[in-house]
Amino acid sequence: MKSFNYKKQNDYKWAMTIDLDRCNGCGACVVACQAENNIATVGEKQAELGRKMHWLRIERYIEGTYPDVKVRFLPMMCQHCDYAPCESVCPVWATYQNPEGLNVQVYNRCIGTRFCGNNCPYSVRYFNWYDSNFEGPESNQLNPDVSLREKGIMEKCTMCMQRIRRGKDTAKDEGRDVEDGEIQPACAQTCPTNAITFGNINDHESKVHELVHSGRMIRLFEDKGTHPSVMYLKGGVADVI
Amino acid sequence: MSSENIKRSHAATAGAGSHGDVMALPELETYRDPETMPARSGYDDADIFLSEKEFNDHTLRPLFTTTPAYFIFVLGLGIVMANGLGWFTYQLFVGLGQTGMHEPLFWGAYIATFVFWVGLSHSGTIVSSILRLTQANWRRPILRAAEAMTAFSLMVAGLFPLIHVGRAWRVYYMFPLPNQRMLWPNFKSPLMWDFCAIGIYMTGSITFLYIGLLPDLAVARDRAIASNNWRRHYLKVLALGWRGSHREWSVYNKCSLFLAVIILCIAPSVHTIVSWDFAMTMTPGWHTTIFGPYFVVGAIYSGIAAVITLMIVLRWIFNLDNVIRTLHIDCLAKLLVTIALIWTYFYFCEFNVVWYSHKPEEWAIFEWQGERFSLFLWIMIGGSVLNIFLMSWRRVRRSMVAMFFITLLVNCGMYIERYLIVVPVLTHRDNAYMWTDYFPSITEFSVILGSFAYFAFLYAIFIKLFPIVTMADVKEGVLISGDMRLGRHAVRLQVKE
Amino acid sequence: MDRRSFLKVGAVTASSGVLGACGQVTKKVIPFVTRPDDGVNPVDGYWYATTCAECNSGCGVIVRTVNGRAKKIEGNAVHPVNGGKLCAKGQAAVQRVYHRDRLTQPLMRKGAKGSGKFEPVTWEKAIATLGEKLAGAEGSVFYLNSGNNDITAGVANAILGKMSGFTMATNHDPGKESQFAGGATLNEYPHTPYPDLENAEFSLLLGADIFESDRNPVFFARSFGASRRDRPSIRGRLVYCGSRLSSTAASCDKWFPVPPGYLGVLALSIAHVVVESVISRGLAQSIQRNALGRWSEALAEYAPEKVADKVEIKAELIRRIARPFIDEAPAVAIAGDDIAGYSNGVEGLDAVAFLNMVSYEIGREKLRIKPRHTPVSDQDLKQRMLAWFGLAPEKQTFRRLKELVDAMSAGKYKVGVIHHTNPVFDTPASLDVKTALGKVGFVAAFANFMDETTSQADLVLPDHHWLESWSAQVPNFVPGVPVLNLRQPVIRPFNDTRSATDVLLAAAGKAGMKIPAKNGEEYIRKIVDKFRAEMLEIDPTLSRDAAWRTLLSKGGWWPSEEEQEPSETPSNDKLWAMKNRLKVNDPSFEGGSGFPYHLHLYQTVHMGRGAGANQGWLQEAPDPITTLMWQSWVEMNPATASKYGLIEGDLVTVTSPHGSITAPVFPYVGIRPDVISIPLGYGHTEYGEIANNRGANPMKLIGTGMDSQSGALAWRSCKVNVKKAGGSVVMLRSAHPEGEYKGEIFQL
Repeated sequence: MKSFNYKKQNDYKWAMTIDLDRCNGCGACVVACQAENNIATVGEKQAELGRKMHWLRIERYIEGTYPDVKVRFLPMMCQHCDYAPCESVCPVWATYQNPEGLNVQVYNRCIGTRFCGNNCPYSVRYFNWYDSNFEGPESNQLNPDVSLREKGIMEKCTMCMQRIRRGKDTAKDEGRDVEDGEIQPACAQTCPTNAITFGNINDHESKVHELVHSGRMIRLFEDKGTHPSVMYLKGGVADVI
Repeated sequence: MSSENIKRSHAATAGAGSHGDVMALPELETYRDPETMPARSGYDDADIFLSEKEFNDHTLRPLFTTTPAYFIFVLGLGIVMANGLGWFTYQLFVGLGQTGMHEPLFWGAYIATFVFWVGLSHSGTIVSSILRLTQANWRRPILRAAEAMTAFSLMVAGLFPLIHVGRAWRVYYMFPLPNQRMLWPNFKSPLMWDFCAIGIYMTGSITFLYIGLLPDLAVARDRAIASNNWRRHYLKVLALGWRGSHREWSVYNKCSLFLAVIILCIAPSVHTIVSWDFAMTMTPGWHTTIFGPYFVVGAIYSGIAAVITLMIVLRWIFNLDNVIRTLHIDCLAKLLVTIALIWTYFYFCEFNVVWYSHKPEEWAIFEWQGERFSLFLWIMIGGSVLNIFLMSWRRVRRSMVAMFFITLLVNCGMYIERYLIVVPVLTHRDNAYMWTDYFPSITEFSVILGSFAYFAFLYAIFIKLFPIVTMADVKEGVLISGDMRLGRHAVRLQVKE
Repeated sequence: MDRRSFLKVGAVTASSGVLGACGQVTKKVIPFVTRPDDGVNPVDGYWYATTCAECNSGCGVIVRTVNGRAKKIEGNAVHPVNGGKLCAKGQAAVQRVYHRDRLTQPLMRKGAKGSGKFEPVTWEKAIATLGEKLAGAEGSVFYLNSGNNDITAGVANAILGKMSGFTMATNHDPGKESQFAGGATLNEYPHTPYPDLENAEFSLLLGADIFESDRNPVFFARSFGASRRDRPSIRGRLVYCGSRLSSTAASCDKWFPVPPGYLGVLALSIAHVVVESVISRGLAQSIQRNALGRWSEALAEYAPEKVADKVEIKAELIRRIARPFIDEAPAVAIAGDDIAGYSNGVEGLDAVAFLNMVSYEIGREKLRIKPRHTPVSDQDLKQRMLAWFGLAPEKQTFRRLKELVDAMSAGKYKVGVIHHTNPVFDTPASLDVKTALGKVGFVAAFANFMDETTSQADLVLPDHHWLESWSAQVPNFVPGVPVLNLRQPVIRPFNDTRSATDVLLAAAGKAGMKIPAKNGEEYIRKIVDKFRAEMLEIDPTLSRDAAWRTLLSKGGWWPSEEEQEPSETPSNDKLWAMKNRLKVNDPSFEGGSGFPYHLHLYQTVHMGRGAGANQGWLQEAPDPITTLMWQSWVEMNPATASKYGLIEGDLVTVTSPHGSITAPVFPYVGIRPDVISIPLGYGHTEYGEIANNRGANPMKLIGTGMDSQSGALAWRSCKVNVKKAGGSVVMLRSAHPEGEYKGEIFQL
């Protein structure tokens, strides 16, 4: 399998688990992601058109009818597939698999054919329909580590690439490998219920490795064969009382 | 064809020199009123009953005489085009937010229209090359119009990727040019295949059109020189000094034949590749093996219908009743029925498989289609079935009015088909949470309307610059299918090319 | 060039060409193909510890600053309240610093009172004016804040409290206020204890929206996560009872819709089962038998069979819900807004506290782990801390606020100081704070933004954002350990603003009053000095400055891990002595027969009471339950909606005895058919472009009814009627109305 053999070429293969039994849908991750990655607020009119840009969204599903209702939350971001459908269809190689198992988007190369978005079964790629509006004092908040995106290009979750980079740089300066838990994407960092765990799945001591092998792991749309690096931990029991 | 006949035909069609307009076949019965002519065995509705001079006058008249109505028409088209261009320019500066698209519907009416135009382009060249290769005699007058349609609809189609992409000013990233940035396109992407296929098809179609034009250009050139018309300047250049020599004709015939074969191979591949833009994805509703042939048949279907529409319009506007005969429409209609049957069959196959297997993510799309686009579906499917029935009658096939509306209905249906391929699939993706709806914005409407105007504009300009009827072919047809008097009897002359 | 040199040059060129060609061909296509690392700055910037002030929970945060600008707020991993985690509001706080609507200079009222017309003045003039007014206002000053227990309140109390007739009032969140009110009768300390959700195996949430509006959403979310999956082989189970399936309820395993106001009855019914079981199983031997007998008698009328109709849960199910409270595993009941928001709120809170304690006492017999309540001694500490701040440990309730407003209307006050609270918007409109403010001689408002209250002021004093100012704070609810939070300026002030504390001190100084410190920083250092003197928790060998720096770098003071001994709640004498309090009266509701529906107001996780309404991030973050953005809505059960022929987006007028509002309908299956639910925080009119005219403010609907025992606002005890208003709007929902029922595609 491609994904678990990354060790041969690379020390790191980043992966994430999201524990659905812990997620309470509070949306802290959504705002944290927006703050970290300079994601534009599109405003009421654009939101009405369905163009909000949150790289990470919390999907809410309802089951049953009153009074036996169950509501489920499903945080959804780029799944960083090992066999990513978005990559092969891009005519200009604006998106590709980096050696550490992340699916990355090269903003400079993108010409905006939006084919990748069409081929993503998770619908987690976002298009800049307009230039992002960061005029005025708001621009002071922008994260200098993350480039702004021009109109006409695709963007999506990077697993906080800039944080990974910084973590690796720090580790390199100190002559060691990145430790487990040292790098935290903004969503995992803030998640109040600790539902999101990020780490190096090649490190068999890592928390994420443990969780992936906990027997609760599922991947979304497993039958599509995309083999995502973002994995979900199933939870919930039918009979509680 | 006997060498004598060939020589005669060359002499007749070359139109060389000042006496080029003189018909060289005195024994041929030259004129018969097509309406009052009694049906006679041995004659066929496709026959042209004009002297060569009359024929030339008739077919070149649109070229040399222009009425004010023409200018008004072109002006009208210009306004529609300018409107579309204006909206597009605004979209280019402001962003694609001007369209009605949104996540996860990344392709909308633009791509549907693109597919429509590419599909339309399949009529001309394919029809013309098939008919050439099968030596269908009735093909002759319609070839030019059909080929021109191919070239122009491809030109229009080629604009759409440019209109559609987010950063049109960076579209050269798709060109495989060696450069400092070390950019290289990804040939694994169906869009690159598409880019190449359309490029090749466009080159081929334009060459095909141009080669076919050569003898007629020469006739027009001679007329233009004789009447000192301004068109002589470009006609002189474009006619490449065609004189109608034996060698020229021989090369011309070979060239046409080769091109016909090549185009016939390219054309299905082009629309197959366009279909792969969809089928190669893993999107439910697109990811199906039938898309290749389905698209090709759909393309030919809409193409033939468009040819018929165009023929009827040209015939009406330029009084070409003597050249484009009811038989031509009849024959094309028969072809249309055949293709309609195949297309309907393919649609049935596609639907049946999804309906029977009832995979939730695929069925959701069809369910949504039925819910949201039921009227469209009726026009598309109902229209197709209705057309098949209607066109089974000879009277309908031979009625210009009926055929005009039928073919228009076919193309409405086919536009809808493209829309229904692109839109419902994307509005109802795998991830049900992101289901959505879509309605094109005024920008999209204007640009798409502008594209239709652009097509008509190109055609209108073409008519004024080049002969719209394939004169050489028609004359050849006259020659090889004329009568020969054997004593008291006029015997039908059948010569094969 | 001669032939030889030509050959030489030629040979060199050729050989270098050959050598060059032999080298490695560039295989990697670098510049435009590889992601340019997204431009990582060579400098990470500086991280400063401080304390979040978006609500009064007091989460510790660290702030990343680059080039003097705050970039990102993250949780302070060592802080006992939030442990490195933050909620959406906290994450979005940085947006408020650089908000385009921020007040940038002091403003003096220009037009008529309440006209909202202002002219800019200099700080000197503003401070002189305030000083002048304060000096001449002996005996008629009030100070109103949001109950954040910070030093500004302390300073105000220290300066103004010396005057006679000074009133200090608090505009609490209605949800949190009730928590203060309840439990006091059974507990030694003045609020409902923190339940030990973390160690519980079974948690019964009785209307407790712990992730939305309860005491501290982040703390509860941490506990929830831990209870669910931190323990190997134990998965915490949660059951929610209440009238609406809130986002908290959505995280629970099961939801029971209980009629509004009857959760206290349910709690007693469960207590009945527990007590009877103790008696019948003979466990009562060492427990005080008398007490059990008394309770059993008092609870007789709450037998599940008798209350099943009232609470609309089958008797057998009530017994099953009660089982975990009898069984081995630790179980806890958590009371929340849906108990406290009614006229019988305190009774309900007491009932839940009783249930917990009885269950705990039984468990204690067997030495089982049971809910760890906040140790009493820590509560003492909290009171002591408040005293250092200069704050009286008195209970601030809605009753107090109402008295203040009534006095204002009577023209009793010459000067009022309002600090970061917006009562005109977020108290019931029937209280009519706006008119009352008009009758106050001079109102000075400290604020970051112009809002409904600020615009009524005579002097608007733009305060620092909390990232720019010095402060200290004691969290309202202390999760098991005492906490002293410090705030330090992590960035230079972005605008020409001044800290409220400093301005108050300066104005008082101008007015010739005695001031406790020169400025806020000095005031906090004095507190820390007192703290060191009394507590000696910080290494006494450290110098004053070193200790100060240590505290600042940590973000405050709290006992370290080792110092925190798991304290056991002592056997509660009050509990055993309890006689006749085991009774929950039926709730009384405002509105007669013409108002068939209960009005269920609630705070969403993003909007809260409406302070976040001017932040794009929070407006655009979809509400967890409805997934709506940028607008407010009226939730109704689909059955109720269809009765009125309403579909999603149709405008509906909700009328109560106090007023009416119009908003679009959102049919939601997770709500009782007799309940209408509306989120707070929308419907601003003077809060900037982003917040204004977005939805309707449901505070117009409720009256000022209170829980008679505690004086807390009974904000859910109002009944309403609905009417189709005609017309409809597009609902900005994130979830597709059909797709949201197709969760099975993921096979979760």
